[in-house]
Amino acid sequence: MLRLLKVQLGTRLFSLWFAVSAVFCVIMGIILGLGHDKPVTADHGFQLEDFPYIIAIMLCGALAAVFIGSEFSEGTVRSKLTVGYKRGHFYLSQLILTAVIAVLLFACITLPYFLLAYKYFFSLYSAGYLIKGFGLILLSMVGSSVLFTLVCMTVRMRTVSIIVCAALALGFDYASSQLRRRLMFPEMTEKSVVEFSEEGAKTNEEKSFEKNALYKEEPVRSFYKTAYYLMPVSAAKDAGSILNTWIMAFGEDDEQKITDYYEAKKMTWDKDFALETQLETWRYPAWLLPEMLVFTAAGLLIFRKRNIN
Amino acid sequence: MEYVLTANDLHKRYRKYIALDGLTMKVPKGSVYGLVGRNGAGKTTLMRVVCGLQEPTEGSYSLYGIDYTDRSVVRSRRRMGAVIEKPAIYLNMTARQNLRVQYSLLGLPADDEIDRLLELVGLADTGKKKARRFSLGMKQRLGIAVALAGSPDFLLLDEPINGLDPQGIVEIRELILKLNREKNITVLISSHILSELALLATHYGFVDRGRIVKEISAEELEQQTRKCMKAQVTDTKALARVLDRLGMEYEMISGTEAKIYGRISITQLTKSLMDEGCELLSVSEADESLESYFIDLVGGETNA
Repeated sequence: MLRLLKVQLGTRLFSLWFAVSAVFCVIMGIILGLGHDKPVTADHGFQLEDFPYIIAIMLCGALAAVFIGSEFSEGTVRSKLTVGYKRGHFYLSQLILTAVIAVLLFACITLPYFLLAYKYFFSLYSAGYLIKGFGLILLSMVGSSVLFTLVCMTVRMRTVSIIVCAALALGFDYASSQLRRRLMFPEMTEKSVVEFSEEGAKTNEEKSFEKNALYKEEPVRSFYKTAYYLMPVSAAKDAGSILNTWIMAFGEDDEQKITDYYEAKKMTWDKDFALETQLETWRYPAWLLPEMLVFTAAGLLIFRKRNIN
Repeated sequence: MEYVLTANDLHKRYRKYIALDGLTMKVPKGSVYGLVGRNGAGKTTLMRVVCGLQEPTEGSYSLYGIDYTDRSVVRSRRRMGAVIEKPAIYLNMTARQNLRVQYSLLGLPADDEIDRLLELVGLADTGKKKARRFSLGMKQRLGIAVALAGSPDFLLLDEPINGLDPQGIVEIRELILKLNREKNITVLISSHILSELALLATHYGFVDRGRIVKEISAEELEQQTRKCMKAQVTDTKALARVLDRLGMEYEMISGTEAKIYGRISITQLTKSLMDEGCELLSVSEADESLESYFIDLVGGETNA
């Protein structure tokens, strides 16, 4: 298995496809880093961008499709299985290699980003927050690569795999944003009735609270939440929020301040879901790791019985 | 006799399509075993199953005496090389890089061996040319070189001369013969070009509808397909006496027909038969090629 990994890693890292993707990620990292060289003010905050990482997830899917698809289209999978490598080992090697490429693409964005904007990172965040934020992005990328491996090993055709993986990454990004938006609708909304005199002066204002029609009730809410946490892209998107401007404004990792912040904003966002995504970050690995295991087990089972031409 | 591959009542079904239907065969060690069959007869499926790319639905096979369900069959597979349908090569790599990857996968030292293999398959001077730019024949030869990495003693070649020009066909043929004669590599080969297969094979397996309809050695086949005259007479006993007297080799194929091998004067035969009170009804020349033998075996039209 180690031999299989070593040989294939070599062929992938020295391929033109990987080189182009890595350079593209480095450029994105440099642009991000240069974009955050302004002093932090009330108007101009510092926000970790998740967009390049979503692009990197797509690239990771495309690379998985190219490399795994080539194994089948060029028939090199046959020479591996014929000389005695087990199917399970072959599947796991593809999965590990896809994950390694995801980690490398992550590094290609993060390193220049971090190097160019390190003073803002360290002046604004504690090490714990940085690890939490970047850890979630990494988890998101590795989680996505597990899914991409399953897709590519099942589809086996390079072009179809590229389309499916790109559609999955885009679809997850869109679905995750939509689910987050819907889950963030507050339960209650504030309604103001203002009375004015004939001269136009405000004479009376009555505030009342009413149920928000957009708020998702149970069981739909639980279904949305499950779907949200199951999408590998969600972790990357929330990492951006975790490290975003207003958290920065607190200056340090202070759960009470974050709770108070959302309490004050509870008419704008749903406090419980916001706090859940910001403070209970264990939820992401708790959902994603079993999901990754299930996908891997499913992939192993499918590939074990699959006819190879 | 020692057998490299033994298949016993092998079945392979793809949903409703039956690719192998109780195929039984034995590939003797050191032989060039030619698989002959129409398109869809099950030749490629058999090779895929033997290489472990597909599981048989029923039945069993063994490699070097080890059943395919046995875990140690992995060791037997390491003694095999295969080119199935098209060569398994990395198109974005050179011939040397392809072989280096294969040796790395096998965990074997490569340096001298790569040069030797490239020389053997005639690709020593391809330099930095990527496999993508190789001709079909060069790709095929590289595929065989990859299959030969690790010095296997059983080689499976599925249609290795398909699409090759005459020069390429001769090169591949000579390579296979060289491997078989000099390195004693057992070869299981399928080909549509039966005349070409006839120049290589020491044993034949005729496949039809997923089963082996006949297994025969090249000598036996030669005996059965050599040039002869088919004579139809009224009394085969009289014919036998005449042919014995004339010192001819013959074979009775029915109560009225016989195959006569070698040259014989028709006038002399007719005269001798008349003396024995036997009438010569018809004489025809029979020249059974491998193709006609195959057609006789499986019947009907064939595109093998």
